[in-house]
Amino acid sequence: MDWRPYGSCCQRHAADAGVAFCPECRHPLVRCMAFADCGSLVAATGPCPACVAPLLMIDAGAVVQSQAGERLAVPLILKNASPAHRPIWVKRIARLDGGHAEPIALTWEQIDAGAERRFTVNTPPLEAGGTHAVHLVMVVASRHRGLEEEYAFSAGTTIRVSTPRSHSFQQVINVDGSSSQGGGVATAGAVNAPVKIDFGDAGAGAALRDRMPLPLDRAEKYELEQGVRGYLAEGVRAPRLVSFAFQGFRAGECPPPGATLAARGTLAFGRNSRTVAAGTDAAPNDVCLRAYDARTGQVDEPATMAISRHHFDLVVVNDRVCVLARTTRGLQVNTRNLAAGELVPLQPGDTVVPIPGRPEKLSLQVAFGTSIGSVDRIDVIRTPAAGAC
Amino acid sequence: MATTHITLSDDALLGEYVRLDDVKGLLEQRVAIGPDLLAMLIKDGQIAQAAPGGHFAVGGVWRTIKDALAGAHAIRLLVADLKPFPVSKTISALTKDAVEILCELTIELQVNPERPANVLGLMKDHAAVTKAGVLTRLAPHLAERVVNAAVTRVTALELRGNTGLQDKLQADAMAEVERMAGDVGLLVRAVTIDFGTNEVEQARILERQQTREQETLEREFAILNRSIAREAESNIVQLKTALDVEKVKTATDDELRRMILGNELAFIDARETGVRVQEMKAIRHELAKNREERVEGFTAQLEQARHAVEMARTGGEQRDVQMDIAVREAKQKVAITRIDGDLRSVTREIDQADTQQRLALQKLEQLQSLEIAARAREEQVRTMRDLQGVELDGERGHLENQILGANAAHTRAMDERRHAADTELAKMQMARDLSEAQTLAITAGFSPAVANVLVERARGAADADKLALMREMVQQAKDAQVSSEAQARHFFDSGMTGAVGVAHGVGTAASGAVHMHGSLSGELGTIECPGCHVIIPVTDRFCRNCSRPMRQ
Repeated sequence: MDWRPYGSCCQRHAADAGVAFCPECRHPLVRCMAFADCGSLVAATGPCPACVAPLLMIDAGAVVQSQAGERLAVPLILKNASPAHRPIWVKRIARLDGGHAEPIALTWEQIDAGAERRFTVNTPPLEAGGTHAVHLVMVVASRHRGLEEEYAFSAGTTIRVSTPRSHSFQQVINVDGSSSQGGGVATAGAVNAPVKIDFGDAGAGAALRDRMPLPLDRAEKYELEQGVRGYLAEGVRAPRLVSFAFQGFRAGECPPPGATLAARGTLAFGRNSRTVAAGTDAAPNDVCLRAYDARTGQVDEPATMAISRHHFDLVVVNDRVCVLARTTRGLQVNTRNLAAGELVPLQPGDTVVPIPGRPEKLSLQVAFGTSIGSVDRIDVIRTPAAGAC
Repeated sequence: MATTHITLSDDALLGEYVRLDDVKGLLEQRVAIGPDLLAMLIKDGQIAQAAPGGHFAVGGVWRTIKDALAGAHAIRLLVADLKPFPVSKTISALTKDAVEILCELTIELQVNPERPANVLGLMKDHAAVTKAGVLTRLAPHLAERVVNAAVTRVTALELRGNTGLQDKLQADAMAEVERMAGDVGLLVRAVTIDFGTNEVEQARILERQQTREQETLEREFAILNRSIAREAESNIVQLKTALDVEKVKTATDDELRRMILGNELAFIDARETGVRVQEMKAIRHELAKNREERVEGFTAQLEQARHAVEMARTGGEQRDVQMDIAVREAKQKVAITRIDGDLRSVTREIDQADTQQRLALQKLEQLQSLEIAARAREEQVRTMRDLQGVELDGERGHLENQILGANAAHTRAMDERRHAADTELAKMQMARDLSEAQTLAITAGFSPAVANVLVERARGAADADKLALMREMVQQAKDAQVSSEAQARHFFDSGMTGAVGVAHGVGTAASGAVHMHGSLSGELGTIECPGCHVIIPVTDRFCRNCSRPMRQ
């Protein structure tokens, strides 16, 4: 799925909450989950540029040079430069040492907009001289109304390590009594006088006068490998523009194939119909969930009444398709009961049971259609089938 | 009778003819030859005897008379050494790694004692055969065919102690000698080659010698160092000074050095004093050297630090510029966000105004509906009260009013029949008032409102064509599945004006039409997306709900 940047027309039309595609350039308008606060559009898998804007700097006075065999402590500053005045949460920071990530202990988590937090990175003993690279990776989160999006960023700096050049001389001075200046006392002997001479910039650790910004790069591979975003086992990501297809629904109870989350970022499931009816159905759903009698084909009212008007949402969070429970009447994913407001990622083959304990009445199974590293299509299969959608 | 022992006249000889005339005399002489020598007696050109050792009688009166009377026999005596004898020859050869070597070839030869007569093949008529002469004859062949052929296959360092090489040389030499001199009574008992020291071996010997010398020196040096270290560790320096002892104890190295140089502090042991003076000189030298090097180092560091300062200053200015750019970008973003916010607020105000207007209209409609419902309820209540009154009156005089009740029931039945007849009559009157075109539309299954639209569209045509036009429009409307007045108007408006888009979807809207844009519904300049049936502005190039292309 190719992604192209938004145009000015997209920004203009994004203000209308009901617009899913730009009427001028056809670009899908994917809004930040905190669009009401930041008013920003986001990429299919990227962070909101207004909500997630960390800035990493080396503090002034830091020493970035050392001698071989020494450890180095680099003081760093992490600043939240969000132009939308949104806070960020730092989930973890680690120093990459080869293929191993050594976590850095943090005593804080939240950084408000414009605020700074300080931490220190300690290097292991730098044995060999030359230039050493210190790589950091951090996981930053943005939260809004019970949803949390995590993103990983990496940064690196170099440390110049100088080798102390010293030479030792084992010299023996033979003293002859006749030539000594000791006042005519005849004596002779050998003096063992070792000499050690150090060359070079001994202990010359240059300190920074000003803060030095470190560019932060998005670490998508780290996110996938560490399970921060996407599906770790399958090695795929579900973009925010993933298309949905519905099977087993009656006509008019589900969107047409290829529906996306572009307009509101969610797909609402519940008992309410899909049409706006003043007075009776002011909050329509995207997918209507009603139980039907298998024999008569009529609505099974007792079972249907066990489904809330707005039962749950399907959302894409952290490149994973998730179920966000809205009902207080109970909801099951496989056999796990969900409380209202609980967010559970869906794996391929998972089954959502809207009526807890009654999967024979109504259950929804999800299947993923993947291509190279990406989930292109998600099939929602209703059981028992109620008709063609 | 005297006996004479005959041997070889020289040990270097292998064989020689003995002159019997020298021992022949008037008296008979006995000639004896030891068993280690071959005694070959040749009489009148024939070998009379050939055996190791022998005993002959030579001369004598009788034999002299006999020789004088009958003639003397031609007798020759050959004596040859039957003992093994070594001969040596120095041979030069070239090894596999092109190193010239000298070796001494030693061959243990022997006249074959089993066939001693064959030694005649070696003998010369007028001279003796020496052992060296035999080697002279064999040496050229052995040197090239045996020694050089074998030595060129090994390197210079592989010659010494090489038993296999020696065995090969011996075997080859035996075969070669057997080939050349086997039939003349020579055989080889042993062959050995002593190799001289070649250049490679000499270099190796020299190297090892130097290594051993170096190891010896290092060992002695280590022993000396340990000795000096032990001495240094065990030395107790005694100082003599007129100053305060506590002050001396707390003095720094430089102060102690100054005190020693100023003779304020002296070593009691003169030997120690001399040593310390030398140490001080050496330390001063090293300090001076270190100072110079340190000054040079500091100078270099200073230059480096100045360079770093300049780099940092330049970097700071660069960062300032970057920060300025970032601030400007942030300000621009903030301005854009503010403009977007204003735009959204204006949009929201418009939406709110639309919503308020819609709500007001809905409220008005609801009030009208409520007023009508209230009037209907009042009428119903009044009717019910009348009925209740009638029922109460009937109950009061149940018996008296049975007839009246039956009459009333009859009256109501009659009223219902009359009402049905009136309704049928009204329908017939309405059908009478309908035009032929309206009748055509209504019979086609359209509602009266749609039929009116069709009649209205066909009104401009001539009377003759009106009916045909009406039929055509009815067929088009049926094909388009027009179901409402609005769809009919939109269908025929678009057909006349050529507007694009609406005709594709009119009448096909599914019952599951999704979220409508309330602010756009019913407004002028809007169309319905044929894909998702959402009302969108006619200016949209793509549907804002499903992204379907709307116009080219």
